[in-house]
Amino acid sequence: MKKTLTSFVVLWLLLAGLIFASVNLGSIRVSLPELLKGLFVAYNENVAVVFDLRFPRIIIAVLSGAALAVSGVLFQAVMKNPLADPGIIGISAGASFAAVLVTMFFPAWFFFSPIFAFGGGVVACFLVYSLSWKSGLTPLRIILVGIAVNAVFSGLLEAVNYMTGGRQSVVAAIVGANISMKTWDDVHTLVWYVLVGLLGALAVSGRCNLLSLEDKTVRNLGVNVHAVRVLVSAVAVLLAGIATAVAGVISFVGLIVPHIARLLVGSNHRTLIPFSILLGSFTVLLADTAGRVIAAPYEIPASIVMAVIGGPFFIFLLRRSDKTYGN
Amino acid sequence: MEIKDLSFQYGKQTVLQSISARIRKGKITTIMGSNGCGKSTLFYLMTKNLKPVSGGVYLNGKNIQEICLKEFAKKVAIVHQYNSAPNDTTVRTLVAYGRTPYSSFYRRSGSEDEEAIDWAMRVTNIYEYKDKPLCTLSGGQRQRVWIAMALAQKTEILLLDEPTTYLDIRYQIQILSLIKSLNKDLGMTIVMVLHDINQAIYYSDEVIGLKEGRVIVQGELNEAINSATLQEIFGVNLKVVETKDCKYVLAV
Repeated sequence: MKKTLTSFVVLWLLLAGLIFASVNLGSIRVSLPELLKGLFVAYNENVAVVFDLRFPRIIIAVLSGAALAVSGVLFQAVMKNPLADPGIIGISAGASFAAVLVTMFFPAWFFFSPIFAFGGGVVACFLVYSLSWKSGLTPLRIILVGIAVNAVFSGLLEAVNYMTGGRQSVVAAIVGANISMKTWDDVHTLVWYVLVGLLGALAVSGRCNLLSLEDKTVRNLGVNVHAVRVLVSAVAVLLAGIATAVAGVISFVGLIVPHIARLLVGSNHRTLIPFSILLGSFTVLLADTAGRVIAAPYEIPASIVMAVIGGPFFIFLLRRSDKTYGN
Repeated sequence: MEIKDLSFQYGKQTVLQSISARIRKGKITTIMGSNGCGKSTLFYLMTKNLKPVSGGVYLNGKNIQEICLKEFAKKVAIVHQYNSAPNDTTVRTLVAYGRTPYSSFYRRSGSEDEEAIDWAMRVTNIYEYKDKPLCTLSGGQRQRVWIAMALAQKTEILLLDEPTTYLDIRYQIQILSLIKSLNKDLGMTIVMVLHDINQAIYYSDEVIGLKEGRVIVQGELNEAINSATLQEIFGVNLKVVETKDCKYVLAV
């Protein structure tokens, strides 16, 4: 209990510190009093630039990090599989493919791209479930089928990118998971969907706990397991889909964050989900900030930073995955 | 509980052929049979985990197919053979899951739930471990946790699928005595699947003996079990020794 509380407090402080650091990294620097004064009291040119250029990017990193991390927690609960991550099993790729198609053919519907991304995610999720179902789901088969589904959608995505000559910057931004050019409009698109998704995730946290028992046992506690699976998956796909529609495919967040969170606060979803929200925000913002700093003035997208760190981590988890769910 | 003309098949393979049997209230009934005789299938049909091809299982005269899962869970509690949970889940958290059928979106857990949870942990003698994580418990203690979870459902009927597998003999006896006392002291109706013939005889009042999807014997234990019926159920000749108050089968 004490460890959980400490973890929450420390993470809050780290996140606040990181946000402030991220605001100040780059050619323009503002002090905290300057920043607060510029935001709430009087106009300050530096603060205005920071506000328009860095704030949206930070908020998007924070929101999509939270969404992806929680999405990972939910997929892991539904699939009883500590290796499930919306990026790895193709949900994000399906979502971004749908989002790219919409922006290409119906640019006027741009605001609704998260909804289409959700649709794409649902299709990918359905494919993964139905193709890996063989009188039950085994963790390894889900991952293998997921990787195949991911490959197909990623391929389609790249193909579309080449077909447009890489000129459609929106398409390129989604494909490359580049959040450097984001504006307040993107924040407005993202924030409501993410809030709904996160509230939904908190609402199903009790059901996620039940899913960690054997299916038969849950059924005989009077719960329709299949309905719960569909519901939780829907929330997970929504979160992954919207994050992807705005920030692009960022893999491994949904894998690394829940894993570390479980080590720190345990596997009860009532604390695991809130903690993953914070830790997800922190992780993606850290990746994005690091990407800005490492090779300045050039920028490495957050997704690439995550992939470089996440790959080895995934292998590490694979090697010890049989210990994660015990009797 | 009553089983009426119950049939089931997996694909084309018939597993149960129109079987009928009666579970008497307030008694311990054991389902016996060799591997593949259909006893697990029967158990799943009685617990709404499978749907019958024809016939049905009736609870107080009502087909359980027509009782929704939630209502069913308030009347019948089930302990499955294999159970798992995340290692860090505490005993109390798990037992509290037994209150799931009584919870809903509008109703938060109240004092009635607390009482039921505490009671279930005391009856099964796990109260002192209530804050311990599952991974620190022995096999016998874990099995008692799963039974406590079922008891927290506050049902009149308890079904157990091979409650003693994975346990050594000391824990087997502990669990079976616990089950016996649930029946004697609380008047619960108990149905279980057991492998060990002697334990089945010693701890139960009634038996249902299955072979190849048919009921060979059923009814009061002393009448149902003898050398001839055992030969028919298991296909081996076993000696039955009778003492003053019990029968023993020489299973060697």
